[in-house]
Order: sequence, then C-alpha cells, then structure tokens
Amino acid sequence: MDFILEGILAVTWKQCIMYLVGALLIWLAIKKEYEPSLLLPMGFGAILVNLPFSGVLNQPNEVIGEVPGIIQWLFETTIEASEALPLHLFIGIGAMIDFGPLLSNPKMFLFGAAAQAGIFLTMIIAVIFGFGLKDAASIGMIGAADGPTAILVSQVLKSDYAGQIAVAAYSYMALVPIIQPAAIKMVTTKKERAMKMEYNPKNVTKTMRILFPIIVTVIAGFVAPASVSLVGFLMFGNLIRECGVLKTLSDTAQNVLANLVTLILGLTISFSMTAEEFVRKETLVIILLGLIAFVLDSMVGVLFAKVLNIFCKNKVNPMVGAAGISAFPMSARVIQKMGLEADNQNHLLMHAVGANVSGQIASVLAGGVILNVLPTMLG
Amino acid sequence: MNKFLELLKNNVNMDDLFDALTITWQGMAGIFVVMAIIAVLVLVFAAVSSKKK
Repeated sequence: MDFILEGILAVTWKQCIMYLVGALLIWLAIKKEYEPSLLLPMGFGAILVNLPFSGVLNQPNEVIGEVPGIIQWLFETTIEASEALPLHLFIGIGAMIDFGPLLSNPKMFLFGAAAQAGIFLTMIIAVIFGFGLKDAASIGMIGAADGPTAILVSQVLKSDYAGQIAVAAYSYMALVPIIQPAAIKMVTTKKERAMKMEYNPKNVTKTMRILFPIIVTVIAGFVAPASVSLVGFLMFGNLIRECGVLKTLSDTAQNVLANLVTLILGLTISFSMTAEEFVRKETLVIILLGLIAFVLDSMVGVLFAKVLNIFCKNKVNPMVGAAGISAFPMSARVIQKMGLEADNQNHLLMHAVGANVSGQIASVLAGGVILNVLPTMLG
Repeated sequence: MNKFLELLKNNVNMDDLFDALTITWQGMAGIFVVMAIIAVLVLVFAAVSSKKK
C-alpha cells in the first residue's frame, strides 16, 4: 500500500509554488475574467503537470518502458515540432479581423509599425539583465501583445523561458486596460488627449478587401520569409472572411476553430510550466520585462504620433499611436474611453481600431523579422 | 558616464548587446518598410478604383 503515500511524499516545494501559480491563474480567469479562455486551461495545466509522476507527462516505467503523457505529446507534436497550434489560431484571428478601418485610412499602417518598438527595446534591456540573445528576443516578444506570436517565437528560438513568456504575454494582454492608460498619461497632456479627429471613412471595395491579405502575404514573404507562416495563416483566415463565398468556414474559423485551438493551446503550453522550469529567479525578471515591453510599446506609439503631427496637416490624437499594439480590440477601446474622459465629444474608436488592426499585422511581422535576422546573426 | 559604461562592459555580454542593437534597427526598419509599402499600395489601389468610377 506504499503507493498511496508515494505521490504525496514526492511533492517538492517548487511544485507547491506551481499549485499556487495555477490557482492564481484560475482565479484571474474566473474572478477577474482576464483572458479566461487561455488562463484557465493554463492554470489547470500548471497543476496537472506538477503533480508528482504526472500521467500527462512521459513517465519512465521499469517494467513496461516509457509511458507517454498526453500534454507532453501535444507539446512535442503540435508546438515544438510544427507550431501547428499557434499557427491555426492565426486562421481564427485573421477571420475575426475587419481591416476596413485600416484600409480606409492607410496612415494607420505606420502606427502599427511604431508600436512594435517595445519588443526590440525590451530585448536590449533583457540582454543588459544578462539574458542570452535568443531568450532576450523571446522575452521582447511579450511586447507584441500577441500571445500566439510570443509562443511561436520562443519555441522556434528554443528559449528556456517559454512558459514564463506565455504566462506574461497573456496576463499583460488582459491588463491592457490598466497598463495603457498609465503609460499614455506619462507622455501626454490632457489637452493632447482631448484632441479631436474627423472621421471620414472612404469606401473600401470588395476587390481591395480580397486582394489585401494576398498582397500582404506576398510582400511580407519577400522581405521576411520567416514571417510567411505567421502572416500567411493570419491573412488566409482574413481571406476566408472577405471572399464572401465561405461564410460557414469563416464562422467556423472565428468561433469553433479559434475556441478549440485556444483551449488545447492553453493546456499544451502548460508543459513548459513544470516547477523545475518555472520556479527560478529569472521568472520575476521576465514578468517585470513583460510589463516594461507593454509600457514602451504604448509610449513609443504615442511619441511617434506626436512626431508625425509635426509633418502632417491633419493632426492625429497622440493616443491613437498607442493603439498600434496588437491587443485587439482592448487597446482601441482603451483609447476611445480615454478620449471620452478628456472630452465627452471626443470619439476616437474607429481611428484606434485602424491602428489596432495594423498592430496585428506589424506584430506578426516583428516575430517574422526576429526569426529571420536572429539565426543569421547567431549562425 | 564612464563608470556606467565600465559597469556595462563588465556585466553585459557586449557581443549580444551589439547584436540586439543591430536586430533592433534592422527589425524596426524592416517593419516600417513593409508597412509603408502596403500603405502605398492601398493608396494607389484606392486612387485607381476611384478614377475608374
């Protein structure tokens, strides 16, 4: 009957910490509704993989050899070997995005690009904190405000901190309504926040909507070939949405596919949350760096808008620059709310949505660019 | 300033730091170039379609 106590006696203090981390993630998901579709499975998964001799991980057995575990198998096949899960999620995300507000105001493309600066600046800070280049680049990707991209880049670069990066990325995405107002207020005055913008939407033809995802994929492919899987799957999802003849598939991608993949991705990524991998002092540094990345993204976005205003006739409310991060649609909503707080007639939503969807494209491009440049540099 | 640079030199892998700086400027330039090309194409397409109408 020794086996009854074998599990309890094998629990380590690090595993106990992970049970608390798992419970915290579940609490955040249920009580605070922070990204519940991902934090809930990740939290439960964190408990699952840290149970002693957990059956969800491969376990050696003296008699019958290695017994396979489902979460380890899922991780090795659908993330480590093929990146299939994060990539399939991009089809769903692409099908959800309406690029109309961006296409009717192409200036917003630049805001998406500017707001990725936080990724690279955080990478530099991470190197100063002593992380190796591959880990630093993966940590910087938290600033993409794009969970699947952060997971994919950290996996492709074989970062030692994939679990921490995934947790930080999704936690901060959920905290955008708290982080962004604070960051934006640091670099704007109330007068700037109250700046009104006219909204004159141009008609976006169906042909343009259909050609857009194809052209973006081709251009991204030429400039950063490593981004093709990321951009391609995102844009394929968008093509399904815009082509007009695949409504059922579009609905499936937006709902069933996205939900199912999110659910499995959350459980699967918990493989990288084993106590040995997760409970280290670097985890706290990564959590801090993730916050820095989000703050820098927002601040650089705002400052870029201010610089652009020097040269442009039609001024942009600087806050719209901060919407260039990929956290869609939270970031756009934050800007709308802050605009109304500064002046109750200041409606910025559609401009912010344009910058926000531009950030979706720019963040996957940033991931692709890092995957393109970094291996060549290390090679 | 000199003290700070000395501290940086002693505690940071300078090769990694220079590589990170290179990736930063190349990365940001790459993203801006791609986004600007797409924006220009969208503008050109919009102008052509409005002329056709």
